[in-house]
Amino acid sequence: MSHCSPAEANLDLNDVPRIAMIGQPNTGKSMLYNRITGASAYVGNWPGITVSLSNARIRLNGRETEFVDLPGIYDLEGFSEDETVVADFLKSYPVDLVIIVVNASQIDRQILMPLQVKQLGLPAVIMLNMADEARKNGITIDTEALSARLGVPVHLISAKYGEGYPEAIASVDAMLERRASAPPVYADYEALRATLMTEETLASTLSGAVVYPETPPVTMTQKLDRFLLHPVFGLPLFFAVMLFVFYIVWTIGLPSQDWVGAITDWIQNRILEPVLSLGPSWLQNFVINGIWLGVATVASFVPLIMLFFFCMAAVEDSGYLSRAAYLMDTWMRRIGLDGRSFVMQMMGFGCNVPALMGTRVMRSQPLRLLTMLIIPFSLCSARLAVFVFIIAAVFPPAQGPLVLFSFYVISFVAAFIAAAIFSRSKQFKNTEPFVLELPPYRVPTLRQVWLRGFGELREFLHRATNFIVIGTIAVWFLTNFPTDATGLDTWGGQLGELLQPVMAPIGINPYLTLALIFGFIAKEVVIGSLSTIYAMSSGLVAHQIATTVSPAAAYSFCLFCLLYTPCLTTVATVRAESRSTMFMVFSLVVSLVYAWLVAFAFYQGALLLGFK
Amino acid sequence: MNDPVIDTALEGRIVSLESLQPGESGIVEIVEAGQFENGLSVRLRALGLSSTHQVSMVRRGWFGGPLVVRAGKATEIAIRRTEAELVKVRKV
Repeated sequence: MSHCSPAEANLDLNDVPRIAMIGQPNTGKSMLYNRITGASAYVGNWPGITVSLSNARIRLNGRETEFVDLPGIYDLEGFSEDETVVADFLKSYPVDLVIIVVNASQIDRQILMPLQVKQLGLPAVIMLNMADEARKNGITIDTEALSARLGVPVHLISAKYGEGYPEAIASVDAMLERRASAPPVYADYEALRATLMTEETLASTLSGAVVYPETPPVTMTQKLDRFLLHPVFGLPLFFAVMLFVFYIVWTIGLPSQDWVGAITDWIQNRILEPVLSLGPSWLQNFVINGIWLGVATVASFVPLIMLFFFCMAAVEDSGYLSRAAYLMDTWMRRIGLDGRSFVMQMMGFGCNVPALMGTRVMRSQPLRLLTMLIIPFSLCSARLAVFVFIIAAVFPPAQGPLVLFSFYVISFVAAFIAAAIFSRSKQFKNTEPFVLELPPYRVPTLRQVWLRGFGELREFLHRATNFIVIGTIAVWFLTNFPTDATGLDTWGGQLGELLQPVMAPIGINPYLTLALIFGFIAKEVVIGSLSTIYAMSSGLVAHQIATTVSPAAAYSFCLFCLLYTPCLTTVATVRAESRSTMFMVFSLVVSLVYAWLVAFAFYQGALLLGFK
Repeated sequence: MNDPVIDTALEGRIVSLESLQPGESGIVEIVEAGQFENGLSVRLRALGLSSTHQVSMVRRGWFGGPLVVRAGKATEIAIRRTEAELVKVRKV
């Protein structure tokens, strides 16, 4: 993709002024970006750039402009994945203006970035964000003096509360006006590397213009950390917080899937079926069970993803997520993960999809991939429904809860073992030093939480829809052809028979194999599909399974269900988040092989021990 | 073995950041590359942890967990012990 295809060449020319936003992590850069662009942001795929960047076109004082939100980075010369992305972007795509977002409280060190941008030769406006916090910490900043010294406009703002924001934007507009006829510029990294920036450079830039108090006030953060980072109580508190978030997603999010289901059912019954009944029956079948099923599956995730990201945005913006990572890191580093991986793993118990999307908080790609590899082993709520059905049909009521609990334990253990194994390979070896900033606690604003949830949702819909609809159509073909065939006579059923040499050793009959093929779309489909497969009402299916499937085989079926891919939406998300079809295939193969091996070990072991 | 840094270390004036106790502070002298090449020192510089800056130990995690240190004026950083080992400070 590195040659100059026509599409790429066009991107080099800015038809409207392009403004890039850069800054360190935790400076409120994205919050400012959201404030500027509102809900108009979308995800742009820039050729040659390995991660997707958000961009938005908005009118600024009557002028059409394009904003690009670059990943938060610590250093323009840095070596991490994100830092390379920013460097690649600034070298490949010309910009008309750079907005540098700086945390005003930490200007003593963050002034490095404005100085570096100056060396890159890029026109810039500096926004000292979190002016309210700096004031609280007793820091005074003379923006006039700084501006004169750096030769670029400097503004004290608060992206959160909007303070100083109108003036800062007016200044951006004025800069664009002044540069109206000047061509956009590429960053000159040669010049930056040729300059040696020392501590004295930073100090002399700030001297006189920024005054820190002699004795910094004891902050709320220090007081809170005494409890929240406590060596003994820290972890239990963290688990309590996670359980609470999990509880919210569980009690509100899961029923919401039913509400959406009710809406999509209504549309199907009242609109689609009456209209389609005018056409041939195969068309009705195809549109409803092929396409509409896919659309409805995607739709059922909408409230869940919104809610999850509302919660995650609140936890993340509060500053607690980095502390959670600190607390869990003690244990997670032993298997090649870090604390944040565990947070996402727990989130996966609600639903794997948002948990996969949540791995974006990790900066290191190998670590992120490893985490994405193990999240699908989390026992999500849809699988829970399958297990409850099978357990109720096959096991005596007294054993039910124990059997179910065993799946939760296996889910954790399976994920940890997989992480321990794969972290040894080079692709998943986290090579980034574990150095994590612990930002002060902040109260998240509703506006920010809302924008975040909404943005993530749009991204999910954008990326997953086609994939899932195509997948549902494929399964529809498998299970509806040849025409007039039912159950094991369909192509899917034949596939189930064909797979018997593989599935028989783990105790799974062709009927259940077909259910697993259905389950590839979503685990919600498994139970419903069983009545189609057995061609009997759902009440009878439970009875049929109870008489034909032994407890050992049923447990093996559940094990397989637990460890093979949870649903097509998860597969689509893995591909979207890793931006690699190869990794998606790898993750699929790993989960299938893993599921088979575990089920095989269990089933054969059970047979050896004399269970039938 | 005429490395001045190591010589000073032998005299006991320069210690690794890892060895500081909560409440103690030091001035960063050098960040060794270790397995991270320049990655660690560049990252730490951007976080305000570089030569001439004061760093103080805030808390040490139990069971070999990461350390929390305060760098410069207003930045708290969690850092793994293996990484903190590479940061050499002159105790103050």
